[in-house]
Amino acid sequence: MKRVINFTKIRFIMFAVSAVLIIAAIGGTFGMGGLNLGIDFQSGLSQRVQIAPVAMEVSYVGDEEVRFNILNEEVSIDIFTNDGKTESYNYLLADYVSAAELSQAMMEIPSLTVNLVAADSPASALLSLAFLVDLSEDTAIVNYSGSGSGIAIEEIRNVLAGIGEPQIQIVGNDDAQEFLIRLEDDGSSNFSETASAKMFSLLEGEYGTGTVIVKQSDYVGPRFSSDLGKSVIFLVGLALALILVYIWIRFELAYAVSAIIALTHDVILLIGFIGLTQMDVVTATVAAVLTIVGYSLNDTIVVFDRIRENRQLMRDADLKTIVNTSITQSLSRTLITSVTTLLAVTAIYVFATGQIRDFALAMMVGVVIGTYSSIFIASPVLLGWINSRRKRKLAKDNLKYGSTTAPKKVEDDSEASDEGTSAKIVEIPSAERKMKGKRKRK
Amino acid sequence: MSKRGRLLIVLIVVIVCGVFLWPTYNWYFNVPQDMKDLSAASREQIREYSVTMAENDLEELQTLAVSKPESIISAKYDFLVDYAEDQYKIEDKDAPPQWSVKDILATFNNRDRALKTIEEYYANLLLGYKDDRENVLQLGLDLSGGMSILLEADMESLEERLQHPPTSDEQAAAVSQAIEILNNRIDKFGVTEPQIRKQGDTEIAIEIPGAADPDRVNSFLNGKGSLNFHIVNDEGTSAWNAYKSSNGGKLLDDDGHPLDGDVLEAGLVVRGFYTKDSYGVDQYQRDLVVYEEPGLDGVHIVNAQVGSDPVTGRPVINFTLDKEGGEIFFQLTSSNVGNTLAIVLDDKAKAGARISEAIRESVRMSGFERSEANDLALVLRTAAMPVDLNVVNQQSVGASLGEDSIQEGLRAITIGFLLVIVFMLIYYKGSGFVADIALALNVFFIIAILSVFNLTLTLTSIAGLILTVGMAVDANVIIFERIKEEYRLGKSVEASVKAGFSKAFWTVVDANLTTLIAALFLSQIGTGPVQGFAYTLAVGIVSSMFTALFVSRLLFDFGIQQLHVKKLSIGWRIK
Repeated sequence: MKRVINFTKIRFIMFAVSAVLIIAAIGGTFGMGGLNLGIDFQSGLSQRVQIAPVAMEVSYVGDEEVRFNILNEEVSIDIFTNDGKTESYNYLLADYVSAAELSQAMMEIPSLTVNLVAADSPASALLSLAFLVDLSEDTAIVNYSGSGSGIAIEEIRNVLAGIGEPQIQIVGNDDAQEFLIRLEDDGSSNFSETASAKMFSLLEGEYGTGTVIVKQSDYVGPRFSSDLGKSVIFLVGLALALILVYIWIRFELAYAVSAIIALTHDVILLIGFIGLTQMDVVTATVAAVLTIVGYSLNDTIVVFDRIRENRQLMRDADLKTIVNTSITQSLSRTLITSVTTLLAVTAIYVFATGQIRDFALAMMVGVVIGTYSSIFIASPVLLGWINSRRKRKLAKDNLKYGSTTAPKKVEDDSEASDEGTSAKIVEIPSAERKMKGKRKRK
Repeated sequence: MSKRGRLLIVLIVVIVCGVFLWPTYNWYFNVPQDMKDLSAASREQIREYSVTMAENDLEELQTLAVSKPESIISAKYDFLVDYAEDQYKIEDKDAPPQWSVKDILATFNNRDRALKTIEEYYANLLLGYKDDRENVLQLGLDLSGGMSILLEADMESLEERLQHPPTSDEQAAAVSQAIEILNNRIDKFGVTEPQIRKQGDTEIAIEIPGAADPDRVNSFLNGKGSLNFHIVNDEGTSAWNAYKSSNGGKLLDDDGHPLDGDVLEAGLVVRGFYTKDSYGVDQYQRDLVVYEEPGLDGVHIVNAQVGSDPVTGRPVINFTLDKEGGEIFFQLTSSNVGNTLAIVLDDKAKAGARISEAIRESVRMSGFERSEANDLALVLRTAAMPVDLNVVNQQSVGASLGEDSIQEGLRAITIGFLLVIVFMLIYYKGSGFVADIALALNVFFIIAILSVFNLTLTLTSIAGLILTVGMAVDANVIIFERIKEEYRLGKSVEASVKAGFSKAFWTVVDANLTTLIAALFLSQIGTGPVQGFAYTLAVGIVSSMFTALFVSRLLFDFGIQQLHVKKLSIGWRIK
């Protein structure tokens, strides 16, 4: 048998640590100006924009339908002839040194003209198109990733000063020159169209025609965002209630309440972390919080399950020992699952960009919080809850039978036993307690 | 449960999941890319493609039949061989051992029959792929690139029009009509076919997968549907048809004016005449030449209903015009008695009727089938009761960004998966191998279930999948730790495994069911991305419970009973 670690001994220190963390998280979040509500909860327009110099412009003057695309390092041109045939031309970027060389090769297509803007730009630096272009209708603008001309957020903010108060973030690494620009809905009709058009023309006015690539665009109307906010609060509340009922049925009320307290602790800490880091709160963030609810609950239930089992097996031991034994027994499982989950989530964090990266970060922090709370919060709260309830019951019984001294004794005992001292005073009441437990189970 | 029973269940689940996964596997790895692209097009485009392919193929065959009539037919035309064999069977003739071009062509009575057969083959092939496309694990817009729009019918504008608060029937009618209008405009832009569906009572969701240019889509949404009455110019129509039959290639500009200005007088345009066909889309019938200036604008229509002719019992369409419209219509009809009046919706002629007398407000049209009449009445009403559509939510993702996301997601999954596998092997040694097999099966089950339920794979569901990979080993970990404990107490391998599984059973169930509750609630939040994540998580929880309790158990039993493993390999510092 492994040595039992006395986790509950430091429970008041841990409660204090949690309290401090919670206060810091809430205070910090308010200090930072509250949660940074993202596009899903605050109506408005959000655009992911890349600014890159133009390498060349491709146009077509014939009367057939021509689709032009660059994707996966390959230029593809499909011509749909008027008699129903399709002719495809493909050029691997890797086969060419410069844009000029590539355009030379593309000239084989009749009626296709290429206007080289930056002839020397390396072919391998040509960017994929965000959307394929129908050359019979439009001219395709091909950009290349320049040598990171270093546009700062401040600069973009100045350029866009004319349109409300946009929030601007850098996406990915600085070289990519990719920005996430968010603008709140001012309630005017056709907001999303006018705002995106304005944004686009302002940026093009500053950085040159064709240099602005809109890679992603999201618009959320006012009604959608308020509906979502309401449904999130409602569903999270309902989920917690249902979980409470389930644990109540499968265990006891004390377990259910302790689990919910631990969950609330986790949720507050995690939301506090999200507020402190000013991470965008979007539906993916809510997903992260709810997943952590599930994860932490999972951890907690495993320990509780062991406590329930051990209470049957270790009838002679007091609850504190049982709790400590149970946590110790499930400790390696708790840690291993945390490690495997962290491995997976870290993989997301390292490889993803944008919202999913934030999601992964929230998950990483959440896993740590969840693991911590199932060891240091959930079970000690359960211990305290059962003890205090028993104390109250004892006090009631004593009141009934007219004894006035007993309750004090019990109180003394619990204080004393927490300190782990004066074993002598413990003896009698602890036996009494054991008896009580047995009777109750029968 | 007996080992046999457990093995049977695991095998059944594996086979069923294999069947579930097959269409998706087939679609992404076996179906050629050009077929995928073609099947993404609208039904109208598929029909057009089939017709042209049929013409090209037949031309090729006929040329061959002249130059080398005895040459063996190429494998590309195997479908014609099938047809020819059937024909021979019907006529009770013996099929030749090898089919030559001449034999094949001889089985067709005439050119039309041949064209029809080839066209049907292509259409069925592509429509089949189109159905397949809807039955495989789809990539969400954030991965494939594309656009999704949520529109809401503006009930206030409807109330203003109707002069009374709309009843729920009227609301539903307004939304269906809006969908009808949108569907009508679908064909106007190429690339891929948008999905348009009703969501809730007053919302319309549109998804345009692939590379859709946001500007083009916006113009498609914002342009008001136009419905007009035009007088048909019969002379122009016959002149145009004569010209068209002797000239090929592109003859019209985008507005319907002939590129050759001499064919028609100024002020006339060509409009295709369409009826709904078996593909469920507007089928082009023939060209009509109409006066470009509309005789009457559809906004004057007040109501349109389908009724029955009291004498013949045939369906008729009755529609009413407002006072001003009645006046205009009277002028128009009185000066055009004997001419044909065409109803043109968004540049497509939908119906034509001969004017027999001058008519004012109350118009009756006859000569349709019941279903045709219903469609047409709906078309007429779309002009009578348009409802404003507000954009509630709009998202567009460039295809290149989606491609990047797929790469990122795949890399994250692979690395995360490998890390977990290696960790389990190091920590649990031999038993870690059991957990890894369970984990691999787990991923297989999840993907199979996601694809059979037609769920869409989004970036968030990939995240859910990776997370599930991390969490799925949990059930195994709980069991292994329990087995380890029992083993440490000095029990035999078999007894430890048995006790470990039975003691861990309820822990695993309790822990996972509570998480499942959280996941199910998560699935109710918002739309799309979070749902994808929640479903993945929920499916992952159920499947990880199954793999841990059934698959791992089976593997342990197999090791103990078949391989007679005497020593448990379940970690370090364990004898």
